[in-house]
Amino acid sequence: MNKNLLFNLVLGAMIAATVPSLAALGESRLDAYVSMFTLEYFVALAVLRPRRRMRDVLAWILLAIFFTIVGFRIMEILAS
Amino acid sequence: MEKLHLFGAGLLSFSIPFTAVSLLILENIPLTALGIGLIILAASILLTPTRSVPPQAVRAMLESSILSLEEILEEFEISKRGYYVRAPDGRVYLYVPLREDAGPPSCREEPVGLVHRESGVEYLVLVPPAAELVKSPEVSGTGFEPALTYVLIDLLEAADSLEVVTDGFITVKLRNVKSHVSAGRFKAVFGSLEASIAACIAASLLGPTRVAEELEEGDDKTIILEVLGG
Repeated sequence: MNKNLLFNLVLGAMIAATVPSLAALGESRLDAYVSMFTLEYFVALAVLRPRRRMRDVLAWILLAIFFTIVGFRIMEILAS
Repeated sequence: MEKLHLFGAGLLSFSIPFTAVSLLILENIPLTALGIGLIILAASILLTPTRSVPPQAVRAMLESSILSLEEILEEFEISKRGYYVRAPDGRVYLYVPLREDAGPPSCREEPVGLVHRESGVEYLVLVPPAAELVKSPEVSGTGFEPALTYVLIDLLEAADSLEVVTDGFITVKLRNVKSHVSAGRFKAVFGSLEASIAACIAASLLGPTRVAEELEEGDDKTIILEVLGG
């Protein structure tokens, strides 16, 4: 199978599995979900290495959001 | 737009309002997360190329192969039109008569070497740029027009559209041809790149073929192929 297509299928399956799993655990923090999506995106990206039509802006956006979430968490810990 | 990208755009246009409604009206975190997940997936689909190799790259590779064939033709000083003949291995070869034109060879076996001798007639044997393309299942498993549309329009994007008329000869009308390689001897022997591809497919599916004529009107092109029978 085309690895570009496989990447999207794997990513879709991981996202579809993450949401009910975390919801079943009672997770109510949106940043936890987004962090998981980011992690899954980069794992799939590293394993399948799909080709992109242009620079992978989505990866940079997810990375920026992830670092922002981590930054806020660190600030929360330091402030308490 | 390709179907996959259309699906991605549709998914994105659904998931953005879905996320907003889930967060602001329903105030449901798992649904909001699902919406964000769908946005990520839709963006990923839109970033995915539908073809591994862009059509321009395939066309450029075929065009560059023309230049090396042009050098060979220059070296042998050949300018006679050749015959496209399918060998038993499924590959199409071009047989160019070296002296008098005695029609296409019968070719019961794969050619060995650069010169093929048959009944006292010598042919220069060359491999056309599309020789391997015609072995693909998308070409060999269909009719002439769908195969030609697949290669020239879908795969190479060599023209905007094509039309095939069969009346003894095969007439292929191409609209807005994009490939313009200037290689005089190649054109005299093989025909233009589009004609060579069309002749290769015709030879593979219908029998020995010759490019009878080519007419150009601006960016449009008419190719007339002569199928000489098996």
